[in-house]
Amino acid sequence: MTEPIIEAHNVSKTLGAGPAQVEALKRVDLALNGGELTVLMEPSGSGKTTLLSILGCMLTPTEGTVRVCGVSTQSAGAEQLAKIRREHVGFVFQSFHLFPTLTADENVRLALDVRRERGVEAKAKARKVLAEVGVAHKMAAFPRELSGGEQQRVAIARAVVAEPSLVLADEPTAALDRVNGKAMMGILAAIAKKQGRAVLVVSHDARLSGFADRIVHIEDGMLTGEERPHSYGHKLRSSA
Amino acid sequence: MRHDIQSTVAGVEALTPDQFRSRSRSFWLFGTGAGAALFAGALLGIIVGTVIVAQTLYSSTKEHLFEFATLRAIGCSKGYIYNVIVYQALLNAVIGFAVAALIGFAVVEGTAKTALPVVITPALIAGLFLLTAVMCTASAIIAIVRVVRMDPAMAMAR
Repeated sequence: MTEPIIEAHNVSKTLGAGPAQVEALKRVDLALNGGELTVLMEPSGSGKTTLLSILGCMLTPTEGTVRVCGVSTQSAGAEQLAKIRREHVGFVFQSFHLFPTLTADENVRLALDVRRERGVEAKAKARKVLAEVGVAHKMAAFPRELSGGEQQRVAIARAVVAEPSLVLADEPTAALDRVNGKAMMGILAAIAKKQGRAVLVVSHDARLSGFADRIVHIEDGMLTGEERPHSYGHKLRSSA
Repeated sequence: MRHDIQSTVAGVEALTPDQFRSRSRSFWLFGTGAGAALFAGALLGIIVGTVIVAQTLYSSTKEHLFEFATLRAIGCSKGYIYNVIVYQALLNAVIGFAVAALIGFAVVEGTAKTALPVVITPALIAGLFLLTAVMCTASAIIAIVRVVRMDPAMAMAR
């Protein structure tokens, strides 16, 4: 069996101090494998941002351990966490977070630039990834000239251009209509399947479950259940 | 000639042009208080200039905090952030210096045929540009501190 891309073991996170202290995550165990699209289903305020921040190496857990591609984030400083993110993690944000003064191509190349990948090769890589997500013809367009769906495609291209092992998507379809939302999930599923990456999508939209290899439920900071929609058992349960 | 004048005319001090220039400069700078005022003015200019550039950079950085958070989230290093902000500061230096240089050259041209021409030497230009660059780079420190202390998870909050 292959080692998971990311492994969170017994992760708890306490935020704030004194009377305002909140236990945002409680003893979470989660492993994500390459080639799988996992959807983290959550109602609002269930700790998904905290979990995503910890899995994305932006925060360190109060308790427990996180290993990304075999590298532990325990006691890692801000720069070491940035290095892990740079080398292993791609992010897709809910509001795209494209840089308004950069073109689609430049936005994608930015992810390479922070890795010191520049020049002709970087341009070629960006062009290839933009073509894969279907916006090669919009390379020279600024974000304001793109539709929501196109912006999210560019954001996905930026997340995967540096070939991270793990792609984390924070409600990637929330700002999109149904058709674009489905298209986006199709792209993320293809990234998991064809490129062998671990993809985690956080959402509360149950319609996305059709794209998931695995659905994990979280509530009040705790993982409350897991299902595999494409498994034989699940199909039997669904048809019953 | 200086010796001749001094030896033949009593009660007179004769000076060479260089000596006269130096004597006049010393008189105006140290004998009248104009030098202190000029120095205080220049110091004030440096302080005010540095503060204004620092505030401009800081508010520009604050306006783009989400962009910086996104950069940090996608894994950029502190060094990358330093480069971005210092580059902006140096851009301010170049633009500000270019505007000031145009005004300076206009003053030089305007006073060239007067009794008190203003002279700006190439060495002075280079020194002033260096000072401007140093001022602007120093101004970037507050903005840099603000960004590198920022939590990259902030990118998730929008």
